[in-house]
Amino acid sequence: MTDFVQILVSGLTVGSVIALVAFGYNLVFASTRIVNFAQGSMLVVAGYIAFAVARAGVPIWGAFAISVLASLGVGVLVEVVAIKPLGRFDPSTNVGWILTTFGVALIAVDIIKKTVGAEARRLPPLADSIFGWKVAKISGVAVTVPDVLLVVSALLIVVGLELLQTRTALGRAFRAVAEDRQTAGLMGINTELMVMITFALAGALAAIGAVLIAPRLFVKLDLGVNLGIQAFIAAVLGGLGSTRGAIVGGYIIGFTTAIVSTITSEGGSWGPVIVFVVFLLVLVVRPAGIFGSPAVEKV
Amino acid sequence: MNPEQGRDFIERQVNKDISRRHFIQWAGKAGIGSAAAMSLSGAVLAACGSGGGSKKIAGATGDTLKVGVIAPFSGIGAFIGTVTTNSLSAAVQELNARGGILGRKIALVNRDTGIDPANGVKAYNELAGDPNIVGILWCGGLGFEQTQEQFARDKLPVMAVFNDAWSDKRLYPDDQQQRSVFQFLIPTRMAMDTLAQYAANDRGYKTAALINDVVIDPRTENQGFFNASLAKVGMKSVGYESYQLGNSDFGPALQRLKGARPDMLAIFGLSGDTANFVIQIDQLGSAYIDTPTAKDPSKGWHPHIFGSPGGTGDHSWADLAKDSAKPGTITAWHVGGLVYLPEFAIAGWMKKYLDKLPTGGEESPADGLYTLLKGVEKAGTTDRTRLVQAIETQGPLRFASSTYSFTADRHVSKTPDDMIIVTLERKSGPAATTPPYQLGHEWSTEFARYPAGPTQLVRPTLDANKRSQPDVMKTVITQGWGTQCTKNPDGTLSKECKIH
Repeated sequence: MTDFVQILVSGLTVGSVIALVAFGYNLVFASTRIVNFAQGSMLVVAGYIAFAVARAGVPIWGAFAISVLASLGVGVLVEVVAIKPLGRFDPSTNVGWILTTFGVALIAVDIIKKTVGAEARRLPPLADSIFGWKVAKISGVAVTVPDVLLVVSALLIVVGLELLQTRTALGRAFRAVAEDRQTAGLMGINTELMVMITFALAGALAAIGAVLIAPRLFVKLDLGVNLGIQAFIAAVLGGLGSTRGAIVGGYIIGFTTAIVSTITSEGGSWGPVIVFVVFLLVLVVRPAGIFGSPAVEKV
Repeated sequence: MNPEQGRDFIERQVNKDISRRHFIQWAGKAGIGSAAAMSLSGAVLAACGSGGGSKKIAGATGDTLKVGVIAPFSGIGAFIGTVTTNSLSAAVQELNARGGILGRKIALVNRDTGIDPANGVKAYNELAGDPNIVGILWCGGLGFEQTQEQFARDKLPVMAVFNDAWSDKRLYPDDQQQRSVFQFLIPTRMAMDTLAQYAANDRGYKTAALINDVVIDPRTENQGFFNASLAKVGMKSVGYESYQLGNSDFGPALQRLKGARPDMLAIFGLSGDTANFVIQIDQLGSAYIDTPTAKDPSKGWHPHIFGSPGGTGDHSWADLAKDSAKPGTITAWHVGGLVYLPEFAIAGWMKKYLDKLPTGGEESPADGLYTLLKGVEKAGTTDRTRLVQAIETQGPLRFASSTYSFTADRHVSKTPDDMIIVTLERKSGPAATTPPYQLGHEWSTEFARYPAGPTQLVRPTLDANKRSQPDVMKTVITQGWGTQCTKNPDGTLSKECKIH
């Protein structure tokens, strides 16, 4: 029983951590067909913004709100620096965005290192107790308030993003731009604005993820690379562009890692190997990912 | 001491940079740099001015002696490069102010490894191909392990400042091909021996388990080192758990360890993961309390946490873990790394030439440079074979911090007698124990303004440290640095005083 509960708790929390980063990849891809390799760095920047604000004496909820707002701007800045200079282009044939988004990611981390420093920082949790409850032991497994908040938030974000993409004019505009930017423009959609809004929202998602993840992984420079890679795998696994895919991909990685770690004490060595095996097996069956749509070329 | 100096003081106690140089060393083993492909590499030539009046050194040309420096000046390990730059800049200015070596000024040729091991290999080959380079300081840059065949081929003196070849027997005389390599970094195996001796002999623990980061120890050598260290002191290993750098969940590992119930739990990883681990063990209700509780099965499982120099030896783990970082947590260090001690020169040089204070680790690059140059002075030539022999036979040296030496059969500067134990304390004072213990005088002066910090445990390694560094230890005892433990009427330190 303890093992089962441990797998459940570990799978949900680790999966949610990964999904929170993967949402940003998918949101941008769904609207632009671009993989924003700066997403991990945006998470790092947002985390350090929240830390700086909290250190100035602002309560954590205030720091969280300010970080989200500031990260909207960071997202716009990334778009202006990494995407806009490329002009009108087809992301599938002109892959300059790989270099520009990756370059922005490196520059952002270097700026933090030179200004704030390279040390990891601690952020207080958004809530460390609910009506006096802090930690529950279920079959000897600890379940904390920040962990519950992490999982619930990830699920709420999925619902929110799905509603945004399918039930709002903005979401329809995103999809139209992704489908055919030129035609969307002819239909009166400001395509450049849509792309900019997408990056802004990705920045906000990065801030939400940074603050929710901090109680487990702190705020540190290497998060962008370490977590960014796992999140990218989750996004591809679930289907690039699919919000549901991001969380399912995250949970596949989370539960696979939890099961391997429960079975063997060499989980650190075997976990990544098994995750990649699962990744490959899924892609063999579903090359576009679990919720991904295969590209159809019209002739 | 002003607040800034005070802050620096406490940071130097914990020597935060050791974690960084360990990371780079370990990252080199893992080869993770090439995978990330994030290097912003760039070569930098930092040459000093030349002077006249030099004496004849066979093989040397011009008015300068050129030394190659390979370090991560960019990328995630750039802070290692900063430590290296500050250390060597101060040391070079000091040496040149003294007139240089045999009348020649010292010039450094820096090469950046970024986070790609291939850069290290390339940098070495370039520097080794320059006949004017008398030797190389390898300061944590990646590619060290991948260049060992070239070391054997070229026989160019290499000072392994922040790289560990001794632990897995890749240093002379274990590896006969590596005679030109000399190590300054605390070997992991030596640190584990020190920790195991303290666990068994001082605390009386019988069982232990290891949590190991396999990204920074990809060949999982630490498990073998740990088991060997335990075996030497009659302790038994009851668990081994591996994890990956940046791990967010230790739940399954903790469930297994709880079943195995080791008295002592060692975590060998970086500070962030160490903090995450102690937070999760605290949430599980198994945080460390004190030694009697750790040894008493009837009181539940509350293991004594021991960590690596780069984990619990880095002050940031306590900052991150806050209340989950418990007083009494242990790590191993070395006497010469206590750079705050007034008789260690590097701090004064950095203040004098750079108007900076050391953050920790600066003693090693400077000592590496000095070793190489004194070798040239003794040999009177830059002939590589004769230079290596001169380094082996030049006897004890003292430059940036404590005294050290190399011999023909010992190419590592640290000895077991140099090792010390460091623990975590809080400004609230000593943890309640029976009998009570005393903190060193720093806790009533400089440390009082900080919530938590480390302190050196003097008594457990005092006899060994006196053999190795008698003058330094005399100052430590006289001044009351570190946790001294209760003094007996005859002036000796009570063994029973420190039990938390």
